[in-house]
Amino acid sequence: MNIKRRWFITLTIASFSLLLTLILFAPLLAVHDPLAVQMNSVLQPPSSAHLLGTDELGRDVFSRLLYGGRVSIVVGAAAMLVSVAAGVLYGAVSGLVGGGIDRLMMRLIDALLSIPSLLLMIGLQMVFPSSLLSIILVISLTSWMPIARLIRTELMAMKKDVFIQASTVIGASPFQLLRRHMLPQCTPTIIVLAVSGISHAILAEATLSFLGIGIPPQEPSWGNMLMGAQTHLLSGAWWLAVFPAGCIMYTILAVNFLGDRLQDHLAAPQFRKGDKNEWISS
Amino acid sequence: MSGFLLEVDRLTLAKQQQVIVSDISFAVRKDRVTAIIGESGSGKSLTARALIDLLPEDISVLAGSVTFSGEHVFSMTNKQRRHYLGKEIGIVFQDTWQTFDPIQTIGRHFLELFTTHSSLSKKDAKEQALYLLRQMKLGDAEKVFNSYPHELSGGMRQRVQLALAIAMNPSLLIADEPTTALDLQTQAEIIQLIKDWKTQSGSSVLFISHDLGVVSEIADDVIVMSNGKIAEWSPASQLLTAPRSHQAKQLLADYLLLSRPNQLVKQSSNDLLIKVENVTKNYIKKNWFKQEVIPAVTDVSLHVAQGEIVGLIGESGGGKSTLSRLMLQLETCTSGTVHWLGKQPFRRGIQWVHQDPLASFNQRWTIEKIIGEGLDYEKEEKNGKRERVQAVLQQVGLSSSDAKLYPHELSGGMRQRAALARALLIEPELIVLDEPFANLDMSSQAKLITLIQSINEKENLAVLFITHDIQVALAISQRIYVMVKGSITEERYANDMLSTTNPYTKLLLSRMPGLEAHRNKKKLMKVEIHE
Repeated sequence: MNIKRRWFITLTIASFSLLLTLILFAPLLAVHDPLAVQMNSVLQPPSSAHLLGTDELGRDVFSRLLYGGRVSIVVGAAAMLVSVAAGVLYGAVSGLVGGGIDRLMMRLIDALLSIPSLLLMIGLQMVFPSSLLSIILVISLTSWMPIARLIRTELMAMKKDVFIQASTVIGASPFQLLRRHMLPQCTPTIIVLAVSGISHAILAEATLSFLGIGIPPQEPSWGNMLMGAQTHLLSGAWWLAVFPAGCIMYTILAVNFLGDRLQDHLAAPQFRKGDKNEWISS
Repeated sequence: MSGFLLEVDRLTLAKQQQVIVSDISFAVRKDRVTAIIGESGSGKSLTARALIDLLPEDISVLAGSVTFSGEHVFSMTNKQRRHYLGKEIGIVFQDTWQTFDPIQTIGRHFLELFTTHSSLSKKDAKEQALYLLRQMKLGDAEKVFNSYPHELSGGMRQRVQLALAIAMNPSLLIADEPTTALDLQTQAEIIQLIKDWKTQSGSSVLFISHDLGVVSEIADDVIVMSNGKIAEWSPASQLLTAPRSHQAKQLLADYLLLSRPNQLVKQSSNDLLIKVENVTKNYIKKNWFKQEVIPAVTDVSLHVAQGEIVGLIGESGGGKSTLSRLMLQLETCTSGTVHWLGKQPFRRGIQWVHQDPLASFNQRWTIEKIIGEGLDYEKEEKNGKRERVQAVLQQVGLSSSDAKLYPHELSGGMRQRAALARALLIEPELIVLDEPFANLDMSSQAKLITLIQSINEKENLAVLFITHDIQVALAISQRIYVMVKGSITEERYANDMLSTTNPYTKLLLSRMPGLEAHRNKKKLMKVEIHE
């Protein structure tokens, strides 16, 4: 890996950790209450009193950005974890068992995939009461299927590999084969899926909030803030849209880039001897 | 100097600063076959690539020169070089797959060649190509001409490659391990074709191989290479009867070990380990409307007793590997039964060494982890795992520092040893070796055979040895099954094999390379092989 690239990775990790720290310590850093309405300072541009300006109800954009980041990051990470876990489990069972059960399980996925996911999300969101937990559930329920299918295909192909058969001969049970050989072999795929899962979940949360059926409107989230911004964009209140949108874009780019590096790193442990500490140089 | 077509003078090749081929000088005589023989990694292929100025990028010529009929190869102009490579030299590689453009038909390969290097019209070029293909004894030349490379078998592709190589009537044919990947029958035919072409055209051949049997059949002069140096350069007849260098003697010893039938007859003990009864395996190929049944193994019965080395020979595609997988219960039989009669449970009593060790390893794991895998599945055997792995490594002749390496860092022979070590670790009663020598050179083969035989004697381990190479099978096994098209046609003791009456076995035996050497066997046996 060349020096330039290493610098870039270090920079990404540093800036992303800074963002996470800011979000984590939001209660200490936010001078203003993110929910406090101040009708005497509505739609103020960035100034020393309000670092990133105020919105249409006079709420501090900087404070809302920090608290909103909590929602977006938590939703992204949690929805990803749930959907990857569900997808890998479902795919592993289907791929390993094979035969009729596999066919049945795959048709079920086909059926679920045939429903447009946004429609399903809106439908489910109407059933569940609007809350953080429900939004995590709704997003993961609509995004585990492609993961399951990919894992199942990988396992199907791998079952015929000679090294899997060699391990069978040496006495490994199907579960041991899965845990020791097949899943580690799938890690690159799983990483890619997890990373795109985070991006997808953050965007889905923003979409739902933007449509007004995500996080309750008074709670801040990056998506919610964007929805509030749309009516005032034309009147010149650019700070309402630029900062949340920038946060979403930066988070997704950073996660994707780091995931990419992680995938390169995990794909072939046999080729990275001697530079085991190369990846994280910070 | 006249009489020499190609002269190599003090050639030295290096990768970065590390010298790989050092200071070699030899010459190829006109109208003669010169062979370069040596272990894999001895620099013979690199030498050949230096002759045609096609070295890999990271290899450079440090010193020396190559002269082809008076002209220096390294200082040719582009035009001269094209003439030299295209018309004066024909090349046949070991790999018959990557040398063809997969999206062009065989015919287009010929047409490209003729339009570049001759002024033949398209029609004449096709005529010429068909003539060449027929010369290569390809049954339906027209059909081959219109086929794509993947539609031909390895042997057919090798013939086409040969036809392409000699199309321009070159004055030198370079053949780099042209028969290594082929079965014995095809090997014999290809060698015959090269010989015929040489006699007809009066050109020279530079033949590179690791197989002394093949070399003794074809070569007039032999160059023995070892560790990037020339160990000996002498006429073939002299090399076979009175080798001077240590390396040549070792080669001959390895060859004799491989070509001498196993004289040991063990009284087949009554303690059977595995008994295969009337096993049949059919594969079903589904077409759009109908199903086609493809028989792979038909009505096979065989048995292996304790401490026995049993050979199973047959041509590639003859169902040998399928049979081994049926015995290992990796696939289910269509009919018939496989009985395991050993004392240990099935999955521990029978072990497997696959022909491609790299494919049979989880490449994310180190050798130590791979070899030790068998113990991970045993509850009570967890302690002392490291010591046991070290012991078995030593047993197969690997050093303990190899344990920390990953599979791709080992050489072919070492990988096969590691695969054997993994099988030996859990102390099975029977090991199935599926073409274990397919990718190894002769000296690695000889070493592995000695190893397997010594383990067999010491630990009373039974071995089922599957191979297409009757020579190796004879050298190692006590009893041999011959398999043709999915069924077993003959069962015989190895020392009795030469008196067979079965026509197919006779055919196999007659195709063993170096039969001349066999006829002179008595003479050869007398050669002092010092060790």
